[in-house]
Amino acid sequence: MTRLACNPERLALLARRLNIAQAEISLQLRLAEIGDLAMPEIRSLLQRAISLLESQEERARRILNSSFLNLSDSYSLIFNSSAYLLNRWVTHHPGWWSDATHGKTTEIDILIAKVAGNPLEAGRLIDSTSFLAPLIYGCNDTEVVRKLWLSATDPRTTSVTTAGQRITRLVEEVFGDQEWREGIAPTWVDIHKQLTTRRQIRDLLGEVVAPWQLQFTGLASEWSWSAETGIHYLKKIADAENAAMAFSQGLGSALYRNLSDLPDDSSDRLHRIDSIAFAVGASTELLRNAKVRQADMDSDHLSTLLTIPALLPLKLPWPTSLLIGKSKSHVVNLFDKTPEVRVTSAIQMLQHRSALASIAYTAVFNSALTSGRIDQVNDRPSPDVQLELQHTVDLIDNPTARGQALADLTDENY
Amino acid sequence: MSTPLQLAVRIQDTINQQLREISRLSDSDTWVGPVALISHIEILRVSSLLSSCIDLLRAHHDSSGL
Repeated sequence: MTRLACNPERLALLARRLNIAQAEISLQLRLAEIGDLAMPEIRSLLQRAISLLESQEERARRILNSSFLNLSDSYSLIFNSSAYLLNRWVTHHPGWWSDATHGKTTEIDILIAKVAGNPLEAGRLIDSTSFLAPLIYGCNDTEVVRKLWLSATDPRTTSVTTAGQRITRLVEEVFGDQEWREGIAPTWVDIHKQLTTRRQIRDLLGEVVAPWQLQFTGLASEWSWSAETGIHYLKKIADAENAAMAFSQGLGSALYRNLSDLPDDSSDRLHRIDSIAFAVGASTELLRNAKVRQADMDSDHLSTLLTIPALLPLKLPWPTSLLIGKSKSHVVNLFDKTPEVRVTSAIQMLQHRSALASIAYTAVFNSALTSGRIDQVNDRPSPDVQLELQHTVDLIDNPTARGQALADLTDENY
Repeated sequence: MSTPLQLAVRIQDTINQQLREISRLSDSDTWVGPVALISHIEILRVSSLLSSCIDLLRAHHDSSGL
């Protein structure tokens, strides 16, 4: 293996030129197979020329890919140079972590900022490095890091699998015992800034994970890890108040997104609804246990949840036939004058589940409409669909959970 | 593109433009040590192969009397 001596933009340009030349000669090869031009000698010579150019391009790609890069589908020079230069900077500058604590824009700030706003390039930068720490702790400006990770995991532009690969690596890097930490000897300045950065990274994790929180519990299989592992990380992240707030605010839209596209097979559909309901239960219980609801954010995030159904295109009325909110109000009435955080948080959890149940209902209704199981918005759904809707609501907001909450609180109050 | 001469012109253009640019980029500013030399030799071989194609096509053109 050779080493690269120049700016990688030049090598990427070479790879592109080699590719273009191959395409041109391939066209000439096809032309040389037609009619009067069909001569075996010409064909053989052109094939050998293509083969030589292929080996040259392969060499160039191997060098570029040996750092951070993947040129298989693109020749983005901006990305290539950022990724390569970032890799080289970290390799030859072991004090990269210390630069980030000295209040000035670092080399890593500049390099990441070039791709942070582009979901495709941000994602490729993350995917192509095996050493993730500089992409989390290498910037003086945490906003650059935030932009990078939010771009690369945005549910509007990122598939479930890809988001899983990126986010699981992120949380493992943040919470794992990484070898690189053992090699650093921070000064007081470093420690102070590092603590601040660490808090900001926890907040950032909340924002990144919020749209994908169901994949940490009920939908953990989509990310090929266990719900036990997922909830372990979810709990750690939710310890930061801002992260917990992000979870709470993102739960409704995560629920709607994951329920809106249900499998055609009825058994698979029910299984997915069950899994998602399990995830909602885990998230709401986890938030209650994190004691975040006593903070002043409670009214904010509840209102966020409640506004989601009104934003949906169909604006379905909440069906009066469903038994929701009736026994819940009984529990709320019993405790709504109790100032204890534990009690208020339990009540809010029930309120959240009620709001989430309405979102789930709307999502499943829309899914049935989209798949043709309901013909018109105003038609009465078939008995099967009605059962599915009722099942969805009951799973998320059910009398058993309300009764349990009542019993728990009563038991501890007397 | 239907005649040997037209194809020969097209191949000559590839040598004059694309391979020249590749050759410019495959120098010691891009590669270190022997790889630049290897790269240059490979590009020369490609040029030589394409030149042979041109010779064959021209000969074919001349012999066909077009």
